[in-house]
Amino acid sequence: MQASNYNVYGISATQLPNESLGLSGLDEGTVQAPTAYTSDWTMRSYVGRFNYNFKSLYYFTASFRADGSSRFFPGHRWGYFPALSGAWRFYNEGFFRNLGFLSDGKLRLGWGQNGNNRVGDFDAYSTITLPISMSYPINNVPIRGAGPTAIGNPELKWETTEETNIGLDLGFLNNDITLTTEVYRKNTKDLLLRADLAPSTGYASAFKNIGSVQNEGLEFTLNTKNINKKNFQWSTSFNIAFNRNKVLGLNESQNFMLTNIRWDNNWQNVPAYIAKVGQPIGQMYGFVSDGVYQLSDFVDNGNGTYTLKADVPNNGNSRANIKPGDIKYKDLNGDKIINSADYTVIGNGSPKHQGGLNNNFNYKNFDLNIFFQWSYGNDILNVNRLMFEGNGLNKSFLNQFASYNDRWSMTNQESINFRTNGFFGGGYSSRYVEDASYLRLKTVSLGYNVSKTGLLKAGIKAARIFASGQNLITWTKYTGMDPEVNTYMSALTPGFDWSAYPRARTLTLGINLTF
Amino acid sequence: MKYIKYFFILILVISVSSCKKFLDTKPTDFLAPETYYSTEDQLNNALMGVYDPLGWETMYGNNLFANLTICTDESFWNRAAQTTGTQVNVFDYSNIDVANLWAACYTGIERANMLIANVKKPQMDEAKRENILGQAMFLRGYYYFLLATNFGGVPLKTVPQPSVSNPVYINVPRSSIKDLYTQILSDMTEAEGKLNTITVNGNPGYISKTACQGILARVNLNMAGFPLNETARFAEALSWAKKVEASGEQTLNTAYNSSLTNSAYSQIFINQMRDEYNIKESIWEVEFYGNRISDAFVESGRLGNTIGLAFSPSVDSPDSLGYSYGFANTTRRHYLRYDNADQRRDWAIAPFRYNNTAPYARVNWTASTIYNRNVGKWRRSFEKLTPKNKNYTPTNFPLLRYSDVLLMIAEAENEVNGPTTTAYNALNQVRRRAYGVSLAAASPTADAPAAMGKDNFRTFIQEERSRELCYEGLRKYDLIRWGIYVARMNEIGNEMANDPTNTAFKWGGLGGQSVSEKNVLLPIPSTEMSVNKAITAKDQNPGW
Repeated sequence: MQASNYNVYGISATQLPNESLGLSGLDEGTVQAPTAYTSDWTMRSYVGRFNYNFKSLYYFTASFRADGSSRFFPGHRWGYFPALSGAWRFYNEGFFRNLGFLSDGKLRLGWGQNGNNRVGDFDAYSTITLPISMSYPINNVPIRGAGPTAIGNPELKWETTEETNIGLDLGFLNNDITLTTEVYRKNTKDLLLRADLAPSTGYASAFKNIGSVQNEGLEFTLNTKNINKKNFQWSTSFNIAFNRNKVLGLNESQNFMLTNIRWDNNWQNVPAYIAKVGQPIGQMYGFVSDGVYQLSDFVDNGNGTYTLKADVPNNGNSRANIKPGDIKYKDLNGDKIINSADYTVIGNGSPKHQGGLNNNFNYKNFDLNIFFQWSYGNDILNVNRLMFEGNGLNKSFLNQFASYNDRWSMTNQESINFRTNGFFGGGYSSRYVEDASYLRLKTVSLGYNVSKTGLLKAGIKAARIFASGQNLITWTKYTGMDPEVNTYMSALTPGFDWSAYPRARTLTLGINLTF
Repeated sequence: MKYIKYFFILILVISVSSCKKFLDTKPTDFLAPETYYSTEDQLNNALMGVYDPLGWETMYGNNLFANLTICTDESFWNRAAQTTGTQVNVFDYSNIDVANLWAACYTGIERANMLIANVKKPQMDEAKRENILGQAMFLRGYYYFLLATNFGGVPLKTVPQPSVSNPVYINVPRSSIKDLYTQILSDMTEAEGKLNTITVNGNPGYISKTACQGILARVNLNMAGFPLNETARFAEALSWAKKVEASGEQTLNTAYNSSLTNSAYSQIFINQMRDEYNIKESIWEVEFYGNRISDAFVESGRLGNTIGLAFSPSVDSPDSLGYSYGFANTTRRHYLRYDNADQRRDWAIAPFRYNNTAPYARVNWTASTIYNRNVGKWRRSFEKLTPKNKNYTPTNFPLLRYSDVLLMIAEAENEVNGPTTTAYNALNQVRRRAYGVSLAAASPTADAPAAMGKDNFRTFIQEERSRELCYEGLRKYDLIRWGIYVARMNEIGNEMANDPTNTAFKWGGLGGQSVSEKNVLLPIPSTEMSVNKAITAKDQNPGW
């Protein structure tokens, strides 16, 4: 049984005449709306578990839990989550023991469910509130207004994840080489998410169980002790993971769901990602870039003005406003008008595979660690370029990337960048989608342990001198600061780069002394 | 072969009954709709919640007199750098101002639906209950009217949102524009019988009977024009507008405070800035309050600040004048609508600017500097409340003035019976006030040319509405209902871009030139279309 109670009370004031009085001076200022917030939740769980081990050869575990949460309405409160797992340590069978080269072997099987109730304590309820912002003045006297500020969802229930996995652990040559192989499939259904509602409902969003997704993957980990001498050891660890996800279903018989990213006022209503049934969860969504309009797309009026030819599609802007050098998009439905009907999938933020390679060396008192990390096949939507490579937001006095020095003009018609003021939005485009595959020398660290003999006299038990560096070298085609970014991190919106703080290249020199 | 030797039986006893109470937490921080609406006070608070969206910046706090409606034949957006957005008619269905207007209307509608559904709950005086219900019904009708004139047919719902997951209630298709207007008329007509008179209310903030009648006249005029073109509605409009006239509650303002100004016309707007009221002329206002400095309320708007007489000193502005961006300037065409004796011109269009450096002197514009002139109806120097917030004003926005009602009488009478004495009388009262002469006596300077034919009278009214009501958020919708919006906007755009006397503001033609047939309606916003499966690309307004 668990319960939690949460209370917050506060007042604030502005325009303090005597700031130096601190909190005591609050009453002299303009008092702002006070804060008073209380909340609570309770939970009751029952767990049963059964373990069985037969001669270190067969292992079996079964468990069952029932969780009841106050966050859901009666009828949806209880979630029941069974789990089973078994293992066969076949190495302990005589046949495998006698093979000689094998030093360990185990086959694992697992299946289980678990639940998630991560929503607000009362998100299932509709609310009437009286925030100060809902006041309305009559006869120049503001009167508090009351109204529905959130709509509840009495049907809200537990999110359930069901995972099946098969694993094989092998050890060779006295476990100098170990290989772990893991295959898993994880289906999550009744995902708890704050889902957008059509504004015509009168509400922006509500918590819902919105659908189901599948994650599956194959992962290998190989550890080897390459050299194991008295003065010199070298061990290597290598792992690679192939993970895939896809949308299995969305509620209310939707076949896709769009997600906007609120990185800028003018772009907060433009869909950036699509989750489509049968496809990966977070796919980038928008126009296919078609370079820039060239003179050949226009009829030359002879007086320095150009009229777009009738068979050339617009870019969302009205045809009369389009000039040579403007941004151009592919007209997918052939109606010569670029609008939301021309959106398509333009990128995928999830990698095809990723992994790491770690090497440890020890030579006498020296130790050296070198760690590489990579990711392959994922895209990043680099909206920094939208802002700084052509001023897509149309801001005054905004400096631009050096790459925008090369831009389309009558004397530079080969440029792939549109002319000054040549941007027109209405959608993200493949122009800003970049391959973010990378290989990165993540860590190198070199250490030296000073031998004890001399130190003990100085009263020092141990001393270590070390130098280490992080994020030293990155090999990537990505033009942004850091291919590992993810500004609006969520399963629905992977790989979005908007003025992310890049990972720092860190160099450390140090001495550890133990007295 | 090995056999499993042990069997375990796992028994879980879940005593559901004992858990029930433990898991029954109740919200302690907010009230539930099921328990609210149970006293008269709670109904009154809920009613203020229904009014509240009117004052948002996405509505009459800014956008409905600025971003969404300022680009007409009366004015243009006074920023050369503004090359996209509703201000210059270069935008698409993802535009934020469009989405915000849509959402604000539906927020108001949902709050009204909740109140209307629960209005019978408390025990209270029946007349007071009826008055609350009347206001809620009127406001629901008004929010739908805003949706109808801006978007055409829209999802129509008259009960509180019943579910967040049932597809029937979350994917609501667009109704026909006809059905939408039927609902608007039904709400407002029923409300009319329940509302207090403006004299009883004593202020223009609450909806009064005459406010409802005047807006019903406006709704009927819209139905009589594009896109429904139900010409029989002119008679309905006439009948509602005449009820306002016959009520004896409303008259034109003819007085002014000579220490502040020199015309009765300007006094109306000065009152709005000073939180003073003239309920005879100003029938319904969106009320704004405060400066967001002296207390925690956020009920101030941007009238006079975005659209106003520009004043932007680099250091803190003195409270005497008040900061303003001056985002809207007059068109030459609008300036030329007035003759020199018309007192409205130099009030609606500021004839001077302020120097932005101390001592902040006035600099008069010359005859060749017309496009430079800011919209001057609301000038922050008149605000009484200090300190003045840089970006927010307490100035009320006029939603219905009696001069509008008179011009609606003139217009509808002309359509029904031709330019009769009734039509002329209504028109000339408005003009006589504008010239500062007696309302009762014929005036050769003020009165409209006699013996105009029906068509000429119509054209004259179209110009007169602009002279009287410019910058009050009405022009765009008037031009649309008259069916002349696209042609007029293209005309004004080309006029500005090609006017040889206009060298400094040629770019100001962009807004007019960018208008095409699609612009008679706004697009259904992407926020709706991406979630509401009953509105697909083929249901979008034409051309968007």
